[in-house]
Amino acid sequence: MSRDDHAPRELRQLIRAVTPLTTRDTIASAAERISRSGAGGLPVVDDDGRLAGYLGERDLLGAICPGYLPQLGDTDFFTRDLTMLGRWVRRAADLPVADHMRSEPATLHEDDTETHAADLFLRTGSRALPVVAGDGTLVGVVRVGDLIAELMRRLGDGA
Amino acid sequence: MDEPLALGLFLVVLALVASERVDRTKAALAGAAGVVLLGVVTQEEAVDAVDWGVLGLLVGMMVLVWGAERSGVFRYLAIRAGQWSRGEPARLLFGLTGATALASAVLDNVTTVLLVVPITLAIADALDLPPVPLVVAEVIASNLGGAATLIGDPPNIIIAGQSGLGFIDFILNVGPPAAIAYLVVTAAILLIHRDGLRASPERVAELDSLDAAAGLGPRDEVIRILVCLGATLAGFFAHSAVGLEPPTIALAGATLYLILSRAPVETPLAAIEWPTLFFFAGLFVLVGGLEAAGALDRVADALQSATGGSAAGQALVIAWGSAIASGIVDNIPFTAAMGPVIDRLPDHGDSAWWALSIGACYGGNFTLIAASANVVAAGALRRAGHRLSFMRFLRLGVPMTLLSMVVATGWLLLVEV
Repeated sequence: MSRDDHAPRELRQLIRAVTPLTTRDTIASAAERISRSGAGGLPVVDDDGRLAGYLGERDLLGAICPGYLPQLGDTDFFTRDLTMLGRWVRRAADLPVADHMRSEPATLHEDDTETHAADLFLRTGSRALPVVAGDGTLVGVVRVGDLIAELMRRLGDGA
Repeated sequence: MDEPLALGLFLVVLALVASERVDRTKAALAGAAGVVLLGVVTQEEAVDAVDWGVLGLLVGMMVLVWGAERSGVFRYLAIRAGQWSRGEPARLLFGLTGATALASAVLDNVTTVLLVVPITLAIADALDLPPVPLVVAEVIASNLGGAATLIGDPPNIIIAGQSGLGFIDFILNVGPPAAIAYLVVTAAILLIHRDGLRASPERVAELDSLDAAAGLGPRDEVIRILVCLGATLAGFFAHSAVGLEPPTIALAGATLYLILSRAPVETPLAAIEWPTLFFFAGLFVLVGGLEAAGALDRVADALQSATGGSAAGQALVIAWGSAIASGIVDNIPFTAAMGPVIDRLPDHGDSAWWALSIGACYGGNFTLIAASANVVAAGALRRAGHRLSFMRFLRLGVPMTLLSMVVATGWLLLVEV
């Protein structure tokens, strides 16, 4: 057995380049781009390209729904969805992403192992995680689907 | 040597709890361990110092409150109260705060606020009204409603354990001043906020579209909890006549609910708040230390000489002193320590107990941090995107507490002394 068989697998090969959101983008434009990305969310960067947060689909839903909704315990008594939710969607559309992003998101580093990434995906339930360099600048994202495909491919190869 | 030790430990625990930097249960248990380990009380005295009846009453009510929460009955009540308003400021304010005060007289204040505030946010959203004045009025009503009954607020549960006064005694002696204070205070809040609480007809129609009954739980569960709550309340009213203590009634009511409910027994029992029970147990041991060391005798002597033994003087000093103290420190340890002081006052009448109850409960309205319900309401507002700052609460809390205390002082002097 060679020494390399024990070396940790690195994530670099799984990192996808991504056009991040900025803190000043609006919720409306972010919603459209997240929907198009198919990744369930996008990283948010500041003016220096450093990771400032992450806006996932749940954060988006939180932005366009009343903040009291999860506190009600039961919502069966609402009979007119569109009136209330429509008002909140309109109210949220022009808000900046910074208001609703997760400001300290779970983050991977370029040198992290696949095991660490798998653990983080399991613990956070995220579909994609941002990857940062040592100075905090955004490198890209790793998608959970890509990690699974890579692990399964390697299993098939007998690795 | 024991007295400074016991007093020092008690004050440290009080300060830690007030600072909110240390969990209150940890602080109380550490203090209790301190008085036993340092030999201020023996192990047997520590066990005897715990008022097991108070803990039993809390456990019984926690199980019943779980059932009430799950049934959606109080959510239904709050939605109906909002709809009854038809967007009129007076009806809206009195409807919502009245439902809150009534719920709070039966449930603990924190549970009441957790149930009522989110519904109020939804109602304010439907009516396009600012929710903060409504929520602050509800918090104040919750603290006053809780002050009206033996089971409504922890200080009253402690006072009942220490004094032997019964459920009906509380209804007759602290119920009326709480009801009058609630009406006066809510009217004052209405005068201040009337113009900002008027809704447009279109928005009233939106509120009417809420189907309150759809928020109720399964019909059989609703009936079960209503039967059990009704039987428990009837038991409280009759407990002196039938020679049963309130904890026995509460535990019997909870047991009836556990038997009747379809929920597996583990689920309602998991709702028992063990940290709260251990907080109380720790405090009782700490106060036992104060008693054993003679510290409370000295407080009683000072109170006696300051008031010249007059019942009116005692009632005034105890009520206002307790209100101010409860605005600064947690009213539960304060009441636990003050009870034995009142017991030591020579020739004290029941008016001293009622003064303690009124001061400790009403004082919770002084500041945002004076009662747990206030903090919980601010948290619910924050999660919904609204800010209730310390100063904003203070601007309404201080005058309303003073107003309610003036009402209660009148009651104490005219009726109780």
